Amino acid sequence: MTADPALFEAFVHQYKDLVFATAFRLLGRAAEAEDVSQETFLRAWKHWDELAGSATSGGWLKTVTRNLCLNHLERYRSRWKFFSELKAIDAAEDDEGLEATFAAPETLSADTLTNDQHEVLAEALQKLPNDQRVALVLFHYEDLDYAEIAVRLKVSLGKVKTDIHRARATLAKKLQLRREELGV
Amino acid sequence: MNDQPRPADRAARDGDVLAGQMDRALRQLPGPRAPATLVPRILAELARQAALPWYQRPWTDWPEIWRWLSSLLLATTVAGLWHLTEIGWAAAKSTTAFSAVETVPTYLQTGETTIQGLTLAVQALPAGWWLMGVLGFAAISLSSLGLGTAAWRLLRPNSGGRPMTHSSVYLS
Repeated sequence: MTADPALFEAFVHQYKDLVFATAFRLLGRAAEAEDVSQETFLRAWKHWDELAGSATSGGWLKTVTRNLCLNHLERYRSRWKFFSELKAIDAAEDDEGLEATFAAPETLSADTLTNDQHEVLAEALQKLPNDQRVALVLFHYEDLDYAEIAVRLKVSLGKVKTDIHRARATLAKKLQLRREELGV
Repeated sequence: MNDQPRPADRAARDGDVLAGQMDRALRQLPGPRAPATLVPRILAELARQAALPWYQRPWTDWPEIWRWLSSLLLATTVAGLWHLTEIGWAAAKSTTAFSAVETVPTYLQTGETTIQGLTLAVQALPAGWWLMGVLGFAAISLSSLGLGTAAWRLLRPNSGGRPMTHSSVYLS
């Protein structure tokens, strides 16, 4: 390879937070996110001829990071798949009454969050069960729609919708509880 | 780049209040920052990979001349083995050894006759065939190893320089 290492180092500095944030949101663990980030940049180095100076390199990095994270999660999925599938069956059965069960808190106002609420939300997001967090992040941060997420995660559309809805409800509840604690 | 509305925006527009609210909340969250150790470990890994001799790197990173030569060698080995197999098969068919082997099933009635049949077949083999057999076995083993290595390197381009990870500590 004849690429300039100094340019590549600048490239890594420019995109390290984007790549790490994408990985961390999907994986929920800093150590794994760091591993995936490293692998992403090593792949970027292999494709440096195409990426150097490209306006789409950020998108390329995000896509590669996302794919690596999903592959990583799939590899370790057997650890939680059994319970996940059980939940999916429950979810399918309960789908009709879902809106009533997880109705949006009426008082939740997410227009402006305080630093304190940021922390609550970030912590709650990280603590979500894998299947809920991954689906939620793919929807809200990676801008995949429900059907695309179902295909990527190899689960049913109903399960994706249920997982995302449950995740949102959990996060909303945490935020609301925090507001009540603060008497806002 | 992409003029289509985001799925979260679509959901909010379609009346999913919670989706809209949580989307706004989540988008406000500052992204987690990469740890200070990330850049040094990437650069260290790149330096480690760059220091590897060419033959320890993925096949796709080998010098072009070696890639051509290895491909040629592989193709020649496969073709040679194929040819040898044909010659060997034709030769075997024309010897008494083959006819002895063909008669082996008839000796399967008792253990004693089976051993007799096999002994006959082995004794009927010309002396040079043993050497050829050993050489053929070695060639097949080596080419299988070569093919396996080439396939591994082709299908897993990073196999020559996989990054050192520490996830296993957390996954165990």
